[in-house]
Amino acid sequence: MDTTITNTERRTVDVDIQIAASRAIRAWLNTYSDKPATVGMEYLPDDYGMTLTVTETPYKLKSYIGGGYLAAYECDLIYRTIPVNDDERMTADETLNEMANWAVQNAQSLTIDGATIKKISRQAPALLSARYSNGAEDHTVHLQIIFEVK
Amino acid sequence: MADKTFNTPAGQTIAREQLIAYLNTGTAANPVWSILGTRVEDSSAEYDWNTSSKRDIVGKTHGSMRKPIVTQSFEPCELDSGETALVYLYNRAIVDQDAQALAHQDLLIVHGYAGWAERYASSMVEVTSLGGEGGGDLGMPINVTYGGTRTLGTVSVDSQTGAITFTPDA
Repeated sequence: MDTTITNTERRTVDVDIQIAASRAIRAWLNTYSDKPATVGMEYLPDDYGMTLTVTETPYKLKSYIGGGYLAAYECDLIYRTIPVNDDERMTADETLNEMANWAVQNAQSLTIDGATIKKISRQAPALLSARYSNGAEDHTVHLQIIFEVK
Repeated sequence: MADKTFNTPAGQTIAREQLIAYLNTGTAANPVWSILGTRVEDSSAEYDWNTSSKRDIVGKTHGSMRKPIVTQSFEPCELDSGETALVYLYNRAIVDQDAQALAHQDLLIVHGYAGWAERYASSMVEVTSLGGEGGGDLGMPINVTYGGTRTLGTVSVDSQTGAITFTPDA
């Protein structure tokens, strides 16, 4: 078994910071006044709700000589709903897009213990990501949160 | 002088952050040691020993070295109002263009992994540029040439304020 760690493998962020980031980001998303539901953490009811899921372990983008680092927290914001027609389906995406826009524009209002937020970005609009037998659909937008630990 | 030893376990490499350079942003009598290298990913002190060698008539090669000139680059040095050393250098280099002051800076290198430090009382700090890429951060890379009186000693860190105090060896 080859256990060589190559330079291309990402270095993960301290566990304490990971936990603090998840709690802080979820709490902050719940300050958005126009969200359709309270944002949970990695759990969704069968028919309706919102949740935050971490899509990969937070990783370091840069490591500084003084021990600090720049890191990325990759997450999905999921909105589960049961649309009855295409218009409602599109509204679900629009709702998520508006929330993601708010997140990007208000990045500086997010605070994480021990870290400084540098930027929040997303590379794609909200999309239908899953559909279930009860008619529920998951609409998802991916966010990347860049933060710095000195 | 007794050899220094490393205070890390045998078989374990030493973290880069155990070697840190500081700039005195206070006075010679009451120094305030401000860290250099925040947001710098790679920086090393380069040692130029001014080596030379010759072969004598019996075929032996003889080498000679001189005390090193130690230089170090720090980049990109993204400006940050909370980085005291960079604000200090910005004022002397960009605002005042005070070449004489920049050629007489007080620097401290702390070798945390070995429990000692070295102070260079008259070092040259050259701000090489100010700028950066569009959409990026404003950077002010610097080159340091350590110089002047070199004093060895130890440092202590205030547990509450984080302030560094350098104590010369007796």
